[in-house]
Formats: sequence, C-alpha cells, structure tokens
Amino acid sequence: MKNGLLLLALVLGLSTQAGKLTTVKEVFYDCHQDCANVASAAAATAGGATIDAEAELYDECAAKYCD
Amino acid sequence: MIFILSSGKVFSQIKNGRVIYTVSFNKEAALKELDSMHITDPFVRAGLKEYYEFADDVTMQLDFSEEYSRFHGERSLESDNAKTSAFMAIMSGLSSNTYVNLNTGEVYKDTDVLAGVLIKQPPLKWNLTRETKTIANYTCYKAMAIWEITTSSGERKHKLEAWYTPDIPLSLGPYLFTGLPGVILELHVPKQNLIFKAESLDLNPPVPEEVNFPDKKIISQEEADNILRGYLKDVKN
Repeated sequence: MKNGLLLLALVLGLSTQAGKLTTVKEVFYDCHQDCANVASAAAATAGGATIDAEAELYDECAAKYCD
Repeated sequence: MIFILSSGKVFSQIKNGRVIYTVSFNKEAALKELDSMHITDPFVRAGLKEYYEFADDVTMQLDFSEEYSRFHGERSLESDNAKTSAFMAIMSGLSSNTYVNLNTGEVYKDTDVLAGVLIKQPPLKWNLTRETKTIANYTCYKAMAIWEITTSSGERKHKLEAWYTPDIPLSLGPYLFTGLPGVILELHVPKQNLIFKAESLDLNPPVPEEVNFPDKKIISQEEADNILRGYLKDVKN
C-alpha cells in the first residue's frame, strides 16, 4: 500500500513542476505500470490469485525496481 | 516424515503443538503454461519466468495452543525460505500470517499489503469422502472443497483436495485451509500448482510456542477486496 500512497504523493507534488513532470512521470509510471502488469499476469497465470496476492506482488516489484 | 508425541498419546489431551509443512510449486507446469501464453511484453515475461524458476519449496510452521493457531514461516536471510521467489512467498502464505480461532473455527489473514487489519476469511464448505490413503502411518480421508476467491478480473473457484486424519482430531491445516475433523496432512490446490505436505508433527512439546492473537481491527474479505481493487486500479492508471 505504501507504494501507492508514495506514487500519489509524488505525482501531486510534481504536478506543480510542469517542466519536469513529463520526464519524471514517464520513468516513474513506466516502472509502476510494468510492475502492475507483471503482478496482474502472475495472478492470472496462477489459475487466478486473490486480489491481495496481486497487490502484494505489485508492492514487492515496485519496492525492488521502482523506489 | 517425523511425527512426535512429546508427552502422552491421548489426543483429547493435546494442549499445544507444531506441524511443519513443506509447500511445493510445480515449476515445470507453470513454465510450460507460460510458454504457451501470448505475452509480448518482455518485462512481464521475464518477471513471470523469474517468479516460477525460483519458486523453490518453502517450509512453514503451524503453531497451536488451545485457543489459537498461527501459520507462518521464517524469512530471515539465513533461512532457506529467503531463496524462494516473491511469487512463491506470497502464494504459500510465507509473506503473511494466518490465525485460526480454534473455538469458533474463524480464519484470519494478516498481510503487509493491508497492515493494521486482519482479513476474516469466508468459511470453506468441505465435502467429506470415504476415500483413504496412508500418510506416515495415519489413515487419512479425502475431502474436497471449492475455494471461492476474488481476483482483479472477477470471481474464481479453485478445487481443493485435502487429506486429513481423524486419528488426530484437531481442526488444523495449512495456510487458509482448515475446518475438517482432523489435522490436514496433505492439501492440493491443482490450479495454482501448489501442494502442502506435513513433514513433522509435534504434540505437547516441552516448551510450546506461545500463540497470541494480534490486536488489530478485523475486516471482511469483501471489504479488503474493495480496498485493494481501488489500490490496483490506481497503480494501473
């Protein structure tokens, strides 16, 4: 959950720095989006995993690659 | 498999104990499934491959007292469990703690992804059969259930196959799976390629592990699903 809150805080904070927003957002969002995709795919291929398992997979990936 | 009765053999006098389970994942089946899937994103494909290739066996322990049980595992760097993939840690229950109120049979999941709350699990409805097999000299009976879960893409139903022994009449089992008239010594979740197997059982040990129920707010699985559905939606958009 912390990564989601961190994401929200950073996006809100950066929105006032329009010049930097695009670059940072691309890098930041790509990583989180990639992790969300991996978590989603993993949860789907495991015959269907619970939402909390998918959220946990996302958190683990984001902590490892994005933060 | 090692089964120990530390003191006495009268099962009605069991006050506490520990069951050690090994959780295995069928990597070959999962990797084969991955090969047949049309995944074009290289990051996603690599991520899944890593999850499955390193999904090594996990050792879990179920500690119980007269009131509560706790299913958990060791995750320190010195532990073999640390070598397994994040996927396996999550699917096996290693990344969470599961508590059962042995008086009511209610099951609660304590997971980092929703820190501060316990998620009360919907009860399983078991279909008991007369089919038997012997596990570590115990006669075990087969029971089947449908595990209904909510995924981010809808409801899913997973068949569960459990082997429990009425010879040890304690309603205990691995992870979220309990509610039978005996300890579950083996449990299969075929669609998830997971198998839980009891490796040892120690009843009434001289120094029992204390099992304390966490003082946390309790929410339903439905409430948890709603929160997490919103969370996942946020991170995907």
